[in-house]
Amino acid sequence: MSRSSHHERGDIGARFPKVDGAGKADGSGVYTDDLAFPRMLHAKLLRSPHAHARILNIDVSAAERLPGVIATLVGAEMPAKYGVIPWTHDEQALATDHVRFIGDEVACVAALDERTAEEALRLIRVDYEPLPALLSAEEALAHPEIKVNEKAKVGNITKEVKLEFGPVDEAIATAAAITRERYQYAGSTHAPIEPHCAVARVDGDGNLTVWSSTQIPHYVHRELARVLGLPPARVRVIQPLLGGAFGGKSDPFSLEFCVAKLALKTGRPVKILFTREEVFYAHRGRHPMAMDVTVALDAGGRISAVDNKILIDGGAYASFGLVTAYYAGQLLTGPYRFGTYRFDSKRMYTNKPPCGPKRGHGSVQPRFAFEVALDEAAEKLGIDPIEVRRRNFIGEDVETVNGQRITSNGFLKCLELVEQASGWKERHGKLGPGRGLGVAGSMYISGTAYPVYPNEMPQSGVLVKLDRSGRVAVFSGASDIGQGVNTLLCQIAAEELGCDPREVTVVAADTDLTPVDMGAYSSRVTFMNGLAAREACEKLARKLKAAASVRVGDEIELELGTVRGPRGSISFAEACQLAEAAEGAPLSATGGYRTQKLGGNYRGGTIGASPAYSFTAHVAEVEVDEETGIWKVTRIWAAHDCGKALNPTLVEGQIEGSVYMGAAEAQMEEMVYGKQGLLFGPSLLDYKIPTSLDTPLIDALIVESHDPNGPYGAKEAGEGPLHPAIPAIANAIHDACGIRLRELPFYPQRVLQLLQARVPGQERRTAC
Amino acid sequence: MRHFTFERAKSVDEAVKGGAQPEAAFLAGGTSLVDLMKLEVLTPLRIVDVSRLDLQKIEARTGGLVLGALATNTDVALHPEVRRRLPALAEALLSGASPQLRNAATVGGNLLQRTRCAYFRDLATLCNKRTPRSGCDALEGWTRMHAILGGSNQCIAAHPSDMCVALAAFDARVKVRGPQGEREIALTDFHLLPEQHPDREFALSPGELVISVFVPTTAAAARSRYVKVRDRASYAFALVSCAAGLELSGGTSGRIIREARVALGGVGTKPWRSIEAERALAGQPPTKDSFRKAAELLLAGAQPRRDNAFKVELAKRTMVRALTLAAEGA
Amino acid sequence: MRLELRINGSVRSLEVEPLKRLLDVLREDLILTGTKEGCGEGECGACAVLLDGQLVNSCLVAVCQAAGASVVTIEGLSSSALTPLQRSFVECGGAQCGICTPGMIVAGQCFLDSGAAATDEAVREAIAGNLCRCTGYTKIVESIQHAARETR
Repeated sequence: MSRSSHHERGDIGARFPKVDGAGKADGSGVYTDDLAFPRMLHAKLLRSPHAHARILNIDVSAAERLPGVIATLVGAEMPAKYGVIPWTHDEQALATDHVRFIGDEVACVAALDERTAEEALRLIRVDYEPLPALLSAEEALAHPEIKVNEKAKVGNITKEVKLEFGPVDEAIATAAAITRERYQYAGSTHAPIEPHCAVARVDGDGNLTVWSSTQIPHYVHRELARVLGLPPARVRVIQPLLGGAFGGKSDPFSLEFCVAKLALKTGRPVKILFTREEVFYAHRGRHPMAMDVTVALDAGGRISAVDNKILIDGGAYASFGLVTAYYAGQLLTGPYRFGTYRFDSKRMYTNKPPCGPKRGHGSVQPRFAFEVALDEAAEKLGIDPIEVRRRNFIGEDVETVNGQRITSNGFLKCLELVEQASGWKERHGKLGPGRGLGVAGSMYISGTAYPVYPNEMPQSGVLVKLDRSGRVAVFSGASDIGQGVNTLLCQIAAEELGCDPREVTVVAADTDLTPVDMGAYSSRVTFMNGLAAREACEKLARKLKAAASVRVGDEIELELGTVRGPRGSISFAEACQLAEAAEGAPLSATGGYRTQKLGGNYRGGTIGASPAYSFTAHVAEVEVDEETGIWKVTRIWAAHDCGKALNPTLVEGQIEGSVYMGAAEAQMEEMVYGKQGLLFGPSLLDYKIPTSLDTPLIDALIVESHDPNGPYGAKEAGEGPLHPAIPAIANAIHDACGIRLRELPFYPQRVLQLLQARVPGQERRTAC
Repeated sequence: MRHFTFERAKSVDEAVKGGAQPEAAFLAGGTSLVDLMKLEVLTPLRIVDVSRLDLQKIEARTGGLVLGALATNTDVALHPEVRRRLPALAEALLSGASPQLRNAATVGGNLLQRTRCAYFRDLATLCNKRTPRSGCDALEGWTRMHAILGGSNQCIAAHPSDMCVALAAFDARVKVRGPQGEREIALTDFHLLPEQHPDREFALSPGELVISVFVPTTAAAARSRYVKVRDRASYAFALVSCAAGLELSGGTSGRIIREARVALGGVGTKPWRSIEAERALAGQPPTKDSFRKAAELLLAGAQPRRDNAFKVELAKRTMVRALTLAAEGA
Repeated sequence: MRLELRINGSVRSLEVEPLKRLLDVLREDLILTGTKEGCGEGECGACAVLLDGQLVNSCLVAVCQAAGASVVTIEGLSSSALTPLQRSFVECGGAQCGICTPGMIVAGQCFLDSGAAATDEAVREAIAGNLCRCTGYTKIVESIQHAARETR
């Protein structure tokens, strides 16, 4: 079907334009910072200048006297600890007695304007007693006597996970080829173009509303109520349009608590907009990891053992870190069959901005290490990189070595597509000096079977209401963070109800109005929210058909605004009216996604268990300037098994964005800290992210494996396709000039150094 | 942003008068000043807006180009005579900043732009350039972007400009007007080494306003190139850059360098012209070998640190490439 | 100071501090919130507007510099209906989260108005000062090229 005819429709599989696209294109869409209210105050946060210190005293009296200052706030006014994971509540909105990184929040001022609030911050006197700071995971491990965060039971360990599946050492001892190397993954951050922003307002009855640029309105709702000591029914959280998140807005942040508390204190609306510098301090980005990886192949090139010892630098707070420690190991066990597997991962508290879930949470780093190690081992056996991946394919409807259930699996098709599209057979190993191709594969979850807090309620809910005008309203708690779930909800309604997708209103992410959805993380939204929406719409469709059959007969088809039967057709609105009359009440229905019991039968076996897994393969093409070490990734072919593309344009967008973000980490991104723990250059000029000129041509290739559990067969597409970009680039650079990059990012000087250390004859890998 | 007074100069004389007052700063394109004032790195008490003065003209004269202080980077880069007579300057300008910054940034502002040393811009760190005698966190910090030439125990901030590197190589002269009248300063003398006073960056007296830049257009200038090595393809300062120009004599087989011009960016605390390297090249054949020897000479005095040691070799290779391209006349 | 700006075609007289950023004047004084603040340091291009026809970052323009000048923001590109370029962004998937979109569209329109051929390279160069974190630029480049085909 041509693109224009897709626009007429809007059912499943159509390239239906985003429902909020026009407002984004003409500037009328409202983001959190676009909100303003009469009498609104602007607040600013005072941050710790020490990486680690005890707070002896905070004196805000001079700040309070500054004309234009309306209120100040310190931690003692809301000392309760919080955190996104209920077992690791280790953060305070404002520190009461202990600061743990440069940038940790200690006080807040609300004033008539931002400039006055900033001036007032300079008048706040904080007496600190500096403590020794631990600035790397290694230091944190070596100094258990210095406690970064009291939440750590042992030393500075947030979480340690040790799991072994099968006799790993035995398999290694009898291997035909082994790679045993250390890989180092630098920390990087999300850098959404929209800085975090929150606005709070209290009405005359004491009801609090917080608008926030969050991707987890439900958790923000829970934590706000708990920390502020308010009944949850008195707190409302609304997520306006969100200007990029990528996992960086999936924790509750101090600004949300501060605007809320200040609104309660002053009775006036309060806004905080982070500066770009503050976005860097809020962080929750990719964890730096040091990984000692062993990959063993048997004589047939099959993976007989994988062993990974992982040291994770977590920063000052836990965030999702408990999960990170698991994901780093648990998500590596596909798309290949592992004979045996062992991992030991430790997440450490350190005196730096906290790390958290960045797109591809926890598994991007080990995936890089493993896919490069696999290439190295295969090379020793003379097996082509694509062939070794094909040979180790785990298959469909199987269980991984760590007990995860895999249903659909389109990985072989992904490999085949990128092999053909890149001309691999004719070009790999043959492109001439300084040019090369590399491949890598990966697997990712479509949501997690494990809700963040244990409960028996659905993980996602949708309420659909039909109006007698024919207008459909979908109330959904899910967060559209740019991925387009609101558009998919229209398409699901159109598919099931036969309404015109342009006559669907989506009311989303408003805790007063919409059913709960856990949030936009773990690639769960389309899968879980989509199933919930489908269920609600199916219920309504049954009622519509039953009511319409009186007029048009049985065997009814609902299609794009028309209800057609053997005895004629009526409009969708007429059907709604008939159904409402038959019901004797307004028409609505709800649907939910109920958590399935999944995962291995051992402690931690449910973490990483997902109702469906997506699969990806990339081939990257690079050019290396051997004189300067400057390299360029010119093109990436990315084939992704998303189960079913509910909207191919949106799926391609997710693949392209993922590929870009992965390539960016390989190219240039790194959070660098100075000796005292100060983040180097918290700006988008010093922390470089790729421009249009740095981003390769991206070929997004969709593979549909039709998963039995997903909505219409769909699986995730937003995070999986990031993973292979980094190892595919590393493997391509090896193909181009024979060097093995094991440390990120692949700065020109690292490439140059390896090029200079090359021994003659090593200039190119031998083609297999 | 702190408080300050504001005045718009209607003439150069008025600007000079305003600029001579204590704690005054000139405002032209604003791309540097507005940013640094917001960060409170700069806190002038008096802003003298010179953006409406009639200094935008670009003139191609016999023997050279005159660039008005308020000509934008875009206008200079796209000027046909600049491209023809001094391609390295056009290339340098187009390799700097981003399209919209080049539309606003001016020649004078580019000459006077402050370092992008992250420590200079971050009030949470110590910086002798920002606050004299307070200390320098860069010395023990992350120095990947810092200078390997011309540093002192007070400051190792790299000079950020691409334009100035091209101008330094080709004997540009800066015309300034101050309370004492007009004078010319050689571009290579315009920027000061940090030595013990890194806060003093320019050879300007209070109130002196840049009027224009004159750059002679020689045979070497016409055969010039600018090569920039950086982390990303737009809006990134140079890890290393090189402006090079050659005047060759003789036929295609027996060509000899009659005159050479070389300056490096990204490696020096100021735009780094090397007369020594240029002399070494004169009389030599335009081969990789002679280019490499000149590069070795230029970098002999480099003082690298852990994170920027790679710049020494990278600078040599970049210089060889720029000279090679210039020799090819491409 | 009191100054006049021609904003999206109509002259507005304002009493503002001379060094107030044009971005803040647009968003706060004129409630033109389509122009977004991404970094406030001239690095991201989300606040790009046309100043006398030239693409600039409004966060680095002191409003006094714009006195008497003509400013076109995203709101000034279209009246009742979307422009072909805006429509392309919607149809081709050029907007994901949308925060960079106004700046991209202003930069893209500036490029289209220049009449230059919309090759991949030229389009990428034209938007090299506008950062997008969602799309990998692929569908943004496509959107601009699609609009170029539609309008030329």
